[in-house]
Amino acid sequence: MKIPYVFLIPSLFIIFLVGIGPVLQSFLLSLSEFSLFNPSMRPVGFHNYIALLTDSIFWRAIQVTLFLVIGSVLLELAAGIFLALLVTNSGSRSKRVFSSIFIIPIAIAPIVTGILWSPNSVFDDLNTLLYYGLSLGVYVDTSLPVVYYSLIMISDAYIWAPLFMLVTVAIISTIPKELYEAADVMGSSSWTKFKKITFPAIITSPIIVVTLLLRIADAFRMFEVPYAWSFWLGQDSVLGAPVDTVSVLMWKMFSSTLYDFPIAQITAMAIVLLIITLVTCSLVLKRYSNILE
Amino acid sequence: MTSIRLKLLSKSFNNKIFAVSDVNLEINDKEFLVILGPSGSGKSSLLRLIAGLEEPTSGDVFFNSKNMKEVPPRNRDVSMVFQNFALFPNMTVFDNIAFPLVASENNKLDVNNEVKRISSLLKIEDLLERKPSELSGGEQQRVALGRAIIKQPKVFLMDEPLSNLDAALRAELRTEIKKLRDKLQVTTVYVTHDQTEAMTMADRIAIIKDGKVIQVGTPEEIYNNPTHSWIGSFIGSPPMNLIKVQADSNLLNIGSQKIDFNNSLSGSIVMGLRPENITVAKQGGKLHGTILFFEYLGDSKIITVNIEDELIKIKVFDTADLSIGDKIFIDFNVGDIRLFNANGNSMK
Amino acid sequence: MLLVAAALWVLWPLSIMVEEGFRVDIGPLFSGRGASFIGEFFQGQGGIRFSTIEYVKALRVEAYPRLLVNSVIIAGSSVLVAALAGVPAAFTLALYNFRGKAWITYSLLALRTISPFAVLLPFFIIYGRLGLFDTYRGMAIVYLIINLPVLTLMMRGFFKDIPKEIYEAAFISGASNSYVLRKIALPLALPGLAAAAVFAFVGTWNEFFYALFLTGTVTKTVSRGVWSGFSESIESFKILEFDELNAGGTLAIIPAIILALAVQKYLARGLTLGAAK
Repeated sequence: MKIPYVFLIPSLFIIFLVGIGPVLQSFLLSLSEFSLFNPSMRPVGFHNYIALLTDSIFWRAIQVTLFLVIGSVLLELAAGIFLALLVTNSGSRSKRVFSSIFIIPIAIAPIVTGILWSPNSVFDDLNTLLYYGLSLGVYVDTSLPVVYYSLIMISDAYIWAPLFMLVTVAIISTIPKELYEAADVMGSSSWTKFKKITFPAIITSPIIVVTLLLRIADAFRMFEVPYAWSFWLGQDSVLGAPVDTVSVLMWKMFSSTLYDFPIAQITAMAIVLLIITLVTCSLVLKRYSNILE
Repeated sequence: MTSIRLKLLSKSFNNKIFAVSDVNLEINDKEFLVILGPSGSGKSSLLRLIAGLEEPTSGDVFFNSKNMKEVPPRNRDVSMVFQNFALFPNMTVFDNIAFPLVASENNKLDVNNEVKRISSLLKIEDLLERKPSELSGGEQQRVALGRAIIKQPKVFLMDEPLSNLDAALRAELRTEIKKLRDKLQVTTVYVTHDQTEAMTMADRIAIIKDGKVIQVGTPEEIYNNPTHSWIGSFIGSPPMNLIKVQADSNLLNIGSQKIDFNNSLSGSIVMGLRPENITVAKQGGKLHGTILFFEYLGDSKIITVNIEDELIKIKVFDTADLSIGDKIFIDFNVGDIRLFNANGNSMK
Repeated sequence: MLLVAAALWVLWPLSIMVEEGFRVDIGPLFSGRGASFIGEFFQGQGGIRFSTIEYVKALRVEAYPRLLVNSVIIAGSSVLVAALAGVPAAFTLALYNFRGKAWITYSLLALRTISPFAVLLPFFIIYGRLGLFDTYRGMAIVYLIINLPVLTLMMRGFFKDIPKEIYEAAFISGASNSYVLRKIALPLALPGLAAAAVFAFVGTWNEFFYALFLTGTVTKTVSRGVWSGFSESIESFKILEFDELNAGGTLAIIPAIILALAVQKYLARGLTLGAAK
């Protein structure tokens, strides 16, 4: 009818300028052997990509990344829903106070969170408490994979659970009260009410999907916290350390002088990461609409 | 001078269910046409098609013989009043009413004067500086009306404007709208599910059910000669009695009772008879039955009588010596009988 | 009860950081930080000496005020441009259907999946040629990658939140798209715009990678400041000087937290990203 296409133009321009354009250029670049010592743009076909596919370090990083993404996002989602339930079931005054407190982590830079949750930091406290304070005689050994993977996920969840909390609160506020009243009349327990009313409403909400997708996309690029951990574990100069996500790997390759700034390869890695992220998101999207139908 | 013609108009939202189905309708210049139907009958969709807010799946809308196919709402020179008022919350009453003039950059009329004139017409001059959230339902609807009439449109469209108001307000605003209509003389299409509104305000009524327009006529015609039994029961309070009868060549049989009625029909049909056309007596009448219960309306009572297991409602004004369980006779003019076949369509 | 526990959970690490910035005295038995609180409780010894030295050091060494100004300018201008481009686009996406609409929405989402490394070199090269390296303009442009999607998708949600009839009444009254956007949609969605802007602002403020690669001494941002404090400690001592870091960390996050708290009510509505309608 009278669709204002012209409104879209600036955004489309930007999308091409900072998105599609640079990515395409990078792609072309990744088809060469560009590096700081050898700045030639001579195309070598998919050589870099093939090399990547056979590089175990890269695959390790992909695995680690995938693992951390799934773990972190699920934890964020669960924690967010949990916080939301706490907040919505409390009185209105404390609601404001607590939700304000819960929001704070979002504003914190990931790197700062990385410091916060580092072994020396929180765990000296915790260990001290456990060991001496409560005389349990045990302590948490932060060099175990179980521990550090968990801590990384917890750190990420620390920052982003509030996001899911906010979204969930918004969704819960749209659930008609009558559903709960009917459940009360039928004598349902709190758990049943959650299982049958609250949870389905949250899970099938398109809003949660969008939030999930955004977080998954972001989580694939996880850097600061795992990187910090590679220091605590003394593996900062080891490529393909157990905590290296793809981003961390790329950074290490970039900043180490052992290799010779293989920019083309790094770019190829980044593009592969991009593709994997997009594919994952598409899968989630498709899987989701199937569940919804 | 605006007449509207709808030709084979259809609208479907998912290619399976049709909200509006092959509607043909002519609306005359300056006519106040009411589209009357139950919830979900497609009446709002029909109005929105006229407004241009929805595009037809098939069929055409003509304004004065001009096809409105490519014409967006803002160019159709129509005004619309919505059920939930749709006032702009961020603007004062003054700005709300002035909006059509300001937004379309109309330089011909002096905005200030026009707004003052219209607000005094609608008796809301004191509210000009308020915001919609500070107004009552009735006041909000008056503002919405003001906003609609200020730009002197060729066509007024109203989508159940009184449905969100309480009964007393509704009656009051009904009168207002009628006065406005007399004053402004503009072609108006008014959608409602309330038959009182339709009967009291319309020049003609178009009855819509399940997306189809099943009868168009003056209120009298619709009331007295419904083309479908459903219409008979939809209009009128209490609704028309629909009694199953067996037709014979000159008789109508209800159970074991008979009515003399010359007809050329046979088989099971439905007889329609309005409660106010029936009288009650202790002796003498065409049919007899037992009183089941009374409903008190204030100025009258409704007696429900069981005649051969058919429940018939009768409107009476005096029930002094009648009580539940009494056997009574009912009488009526044969000319008031309306006949409908098994499908509900009227017959002669 | 659980609420309180959860709140503590959130605040505990933070309080350690703040407190460490003040260089709380450490009890002799415990090498851990913050343990003195607990240690004190159980051992009845250890004292608390407050000293603001770390905060002052952070301010001076990292030239914090300069970093602050830089971050504000960069984040502010990037969000502004994102809003100017994103709001009209969001309006169109919210109200109309057209071919390619799904592509645009998907592209916006995809924009957020771009990792800095994926576009680093092109930016490096182009910025080198155009002299946009280490400039406010350059940084603002790069951050559009993360800001445009946020602003556009969130505002689309807010515009969709406004009841359809209000738009219809406006259009029928003869208003143009531009008029409706300016006079009706934006005023009504203003809280949402605030929320989206803060969200984008905070995201840009905290962002590290692009800042690291594309800023120099002129436009160095706060996040770099925190990071370089971090890496300096690592390189020089191979252990982390927590006191400094914590002070710096605290200073780094204060502005962001203040903003987040201010709009937390609006953040909830906006974060639904309009997908529900």
